[in-house]
Amino acid sequence: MESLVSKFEQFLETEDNVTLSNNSLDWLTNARKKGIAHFAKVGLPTPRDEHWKYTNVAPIKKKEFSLTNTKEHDVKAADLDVFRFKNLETIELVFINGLFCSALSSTVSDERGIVLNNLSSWLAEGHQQDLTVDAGDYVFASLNNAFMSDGAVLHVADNELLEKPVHLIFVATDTEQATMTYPRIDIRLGKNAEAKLIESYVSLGEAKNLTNVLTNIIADENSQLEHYRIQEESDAAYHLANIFIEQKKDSRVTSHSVSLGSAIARVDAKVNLSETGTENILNGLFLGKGRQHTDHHLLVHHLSPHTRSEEYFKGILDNASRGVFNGKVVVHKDAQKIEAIQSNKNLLLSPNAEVDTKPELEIYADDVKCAHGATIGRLSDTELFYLRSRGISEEKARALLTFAFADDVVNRMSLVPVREYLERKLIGQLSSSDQIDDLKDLI
Amino acid sequence: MSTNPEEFDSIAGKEYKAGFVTDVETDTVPPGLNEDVIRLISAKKEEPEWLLEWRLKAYQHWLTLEEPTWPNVHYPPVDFQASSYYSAPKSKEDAPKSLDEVDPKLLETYEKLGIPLREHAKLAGVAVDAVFDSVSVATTFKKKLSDVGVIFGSFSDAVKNHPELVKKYLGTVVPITDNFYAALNSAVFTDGSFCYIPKGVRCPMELSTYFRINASNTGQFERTLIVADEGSHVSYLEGCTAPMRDENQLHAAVVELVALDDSEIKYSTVQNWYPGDENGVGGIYNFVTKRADCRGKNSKVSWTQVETGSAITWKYPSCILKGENSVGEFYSVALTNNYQQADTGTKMIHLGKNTRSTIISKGISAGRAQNSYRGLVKITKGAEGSRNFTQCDSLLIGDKCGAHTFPYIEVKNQSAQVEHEASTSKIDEDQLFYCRQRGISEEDAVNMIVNGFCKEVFKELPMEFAVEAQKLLAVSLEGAVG
Amino acid sequence: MLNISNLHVKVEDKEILKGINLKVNAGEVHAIMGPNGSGKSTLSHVLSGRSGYEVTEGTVDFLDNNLLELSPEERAHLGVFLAFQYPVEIPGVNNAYMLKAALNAIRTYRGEEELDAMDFMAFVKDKVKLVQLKEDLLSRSVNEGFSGGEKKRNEIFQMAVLEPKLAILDETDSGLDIDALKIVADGVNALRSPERSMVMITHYQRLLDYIEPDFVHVLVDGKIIKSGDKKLALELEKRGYDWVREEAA
Repeated sequence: MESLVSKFEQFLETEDNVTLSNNSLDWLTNARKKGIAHFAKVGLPTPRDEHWKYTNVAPIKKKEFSLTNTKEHDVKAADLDVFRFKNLETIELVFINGLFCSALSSTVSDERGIVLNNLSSWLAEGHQQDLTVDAGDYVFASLNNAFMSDGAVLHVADNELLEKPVHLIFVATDTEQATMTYPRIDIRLGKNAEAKLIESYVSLGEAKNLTNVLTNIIADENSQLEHYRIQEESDAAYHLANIFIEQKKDSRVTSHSVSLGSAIARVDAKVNLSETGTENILNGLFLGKGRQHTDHHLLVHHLSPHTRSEEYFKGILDNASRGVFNGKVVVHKDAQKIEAIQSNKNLLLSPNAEVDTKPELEIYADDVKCAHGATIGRLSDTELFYLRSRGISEEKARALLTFAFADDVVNRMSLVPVREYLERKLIGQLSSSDQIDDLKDLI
Repeated sequence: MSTNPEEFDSIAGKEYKAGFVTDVETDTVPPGLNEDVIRLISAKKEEPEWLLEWRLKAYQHWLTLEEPTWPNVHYPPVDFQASSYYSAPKSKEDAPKSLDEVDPKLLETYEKLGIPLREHAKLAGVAVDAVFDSVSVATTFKKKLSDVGVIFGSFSDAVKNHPELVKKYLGTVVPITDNFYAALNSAVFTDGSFCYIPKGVRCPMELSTYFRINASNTGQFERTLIVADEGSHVSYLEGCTAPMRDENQLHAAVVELVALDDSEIKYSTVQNWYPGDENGVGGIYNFVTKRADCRGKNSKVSWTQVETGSAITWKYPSCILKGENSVGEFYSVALTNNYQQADTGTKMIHLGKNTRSTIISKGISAGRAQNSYRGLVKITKGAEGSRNFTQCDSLLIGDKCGAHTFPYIEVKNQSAQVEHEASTSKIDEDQLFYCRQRGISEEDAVNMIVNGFCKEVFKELPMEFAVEAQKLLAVSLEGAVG
Repeated sequence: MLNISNLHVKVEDKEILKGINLKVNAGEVHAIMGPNGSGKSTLSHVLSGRSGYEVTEGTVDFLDNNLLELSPEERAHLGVFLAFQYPVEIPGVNNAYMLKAALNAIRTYRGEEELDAMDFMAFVKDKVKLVQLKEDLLSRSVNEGFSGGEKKRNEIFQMAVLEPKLAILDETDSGLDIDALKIVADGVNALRSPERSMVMITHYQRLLDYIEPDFVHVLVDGKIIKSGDKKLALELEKRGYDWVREEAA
């Protein structure tokens, strides 16, 4: 990772990148230069940085990842079945080791003005639209700006509804040389537009890749987006994600983040509620086992009156895993009539697990209703006792309660097939979940 | 206050006749800080060599530190070389000659707080003849205390009379290397209080009885050390409800509490230093380091604070819960009005088994003030079965102020239970209307609702101070409504 | 005592009251009935001075004072009392303390001496019995943790203590079971006097079985469209509001 700056020039010369920018787009060239310049200046974060106090990326720093990815792979459509949602018809875009796989994907370009394509094809079509994202202080977003290679574009025109959910599957395979990929996802909803999009990050085998993704969402007036990200990469992988959301008048964006995999996973979400009547909901569930480290950093800016936000995150940490939550809500001056709710609840399942949580409020207006809560603990003795007194074994009772704790977040999702998929995952992942295997039949 | 006025007068009068305040007055060191100044302070105070060395070590460390910038407060940089580090008590020359020269607003406030007239002059810093001083007034109470073996007096006295105790505990809770202001305080502290409660003794009175007088003129770098030996109990009140006129812009005190097995320390603070005027001009910078070490098993330390003063407050009374079953509590009301800024909270560090902590913080922000709660709850690996409950509420009065919450929660033990709740809202219109419909004026209604909001904290204060604290809130909120 | 003349009131640009005329003499009990959304609660809020209402036309005279010019507390000092439909909870503020502050504010206005805590407690002791309020509710925070019935009884208890000249009872009967209703009604009846007027706002005829009004008014769509005596209420109960509407049209 340390050598990224020196690799930049070389990267600009690669074939893939030439494809991506053969329109000599100024915005893209500038974004890349600005991105690498920011990284060259600040470097990788260290725990001395307040925003990285609890997450040390030193293991990433020392590793070498290859930027050039081979197009060759032996992934077949059927290999991805396990990552699909039963009884849900989606429009699927598949990326393998960062590269778009057209054979496994379908795209949309209809006369109604709905565009769904992979980024490099979209650019190759000659679109001039500026997709610049201001990375601000987010250094991994800057790196994504510098090295974005492919990804997805979903643009829905005014008053249009994309009925089928979009499913982006980013597959990492166990390559000889660990790869790093910089997918860019650009979602723009026009006025009154509606869409649903699911990002899945999965591994085939013990992939040791690094994913550094940036999802940029712009929701225009009265539009509605339900966004999911399900991260279940291999335990040897590293996952870094930035989600930037910009909301215009009366728009509603819900984003669910489920973090199950990776050695280190860090998700930074930044939301700007720029105009009145906007609502943003961030839900999250993170499960840690082994020595996994999962970190969610949320920052919600209430910039206008009559805006509402909700953050609802739960963590379950087993073995020697560590979970970090930092939720920050800023109510700016003159943004009156605000409601902001923040909740982070955590379960520690093992003596070596750790949770660090910091739910912050910064409020510069007075007509607000803000509340936050955080709890860290183990399963309730009373609830355990209740179940045991009904004849359920302690082990099963624990599994049931842990499942219920997590399922609470899953139940906030509107797509039932996604819920069912995740519930099966949960049963598979939670320790002693063999005890509640029979629950599968009930889902 | 429970002191009987006659007793007061007689003590004060006696001391004056004894000519207590004399030579110190002319001793002022030129501005600036260097080793010579520290040697001079130490020499003036006739300190033992070990203490001078301790000060110098602190000074050397301070030189390596930078002023902290992480608190959510903003102020022009302090020029540490412009201050004089040995100037207390303040020369009479600069002080008002009589009450007529004192800001009438200040006197009005004393009236409202119900402070006895005879104390007005003293609090306003008038150069009156009868100067009360801690050491002098202390004598009467000292008798009562020494009968049970309690040592209580000025820090300088303790250094002279009980050097072994001071040496044993000084800097063991807040080391000289702790932070910028603690290091500075360690190098240049002028005086403060020392208190030792021997084994099994329940201190026969609140160590607050004459503190209103004791608290003034202790200087800008105050040092307090309280040691509760095994099975002892003490309640200590620092500060006073009257706004005190003070020439020192920067206050950087250090308070260290040591609680041994089965002991209990209750430390209550009412802080009402000059907050500056309505336009944010003037006012004290209050940068304090307060920490308690619950060293012994079953020990308990309870911090209760009502903070309404100072232009800038930066303080986090903390508990290190080392002993098994030890308990730490933090109850706080922080009110900021006009241009005041407060960044305050607590740290609860759970090290021992079955340690418990409770944090109740009530922040009130009015005018153009900024009020931040900053707290840390840390459950370390060894803190089996520990618990924390935190509740942290903010109330906003007016649309130009701010309220912020920065809680850090770090849990490394599975058997711990940590709960944190917080809310921020403006003063409820329905509650206001309800009270006003019953005939209560808007200002009284606001006071009533604010006091209700703070009730959980006030009930932790000694009775008479709870009453004063309520009045204090009302006075501090003046002009915030409407 | 109270004279409302051609009162028009807007809430957020929507006209809610469209020309109310109502005269209440000392000692009279008036019932105002009407369907949901007719403006009943708006009337009680405007009379007591709650913010958020814009009076666009008309006058309200109370004992030769222009009521609309006064702050809520000034109206209370003159003797206007509102028994709230939804009494608010005020955490940490002692019920008795709040009431003592209110009583003393009103006594001061009347030129009477303030009561100290001892006298106050003696004064309220009988009043507590009037509505069978548990005495421990006095030392609790205002309305906090009170049951619905206790809140309504607390309102009548406060009325008994503050001895208003004009009591406005805003849906005091809603949410009460029959036993609680009887207790509240008994309390109100005990407070009827030739010097005290009452305006009862209600949905249900049921309340009027227990507190007999001198006059009944029908408020529909921001206007009083019919007035009568107790018999009118019975008829409303039987026939609903539509016939009154038609008659008025």
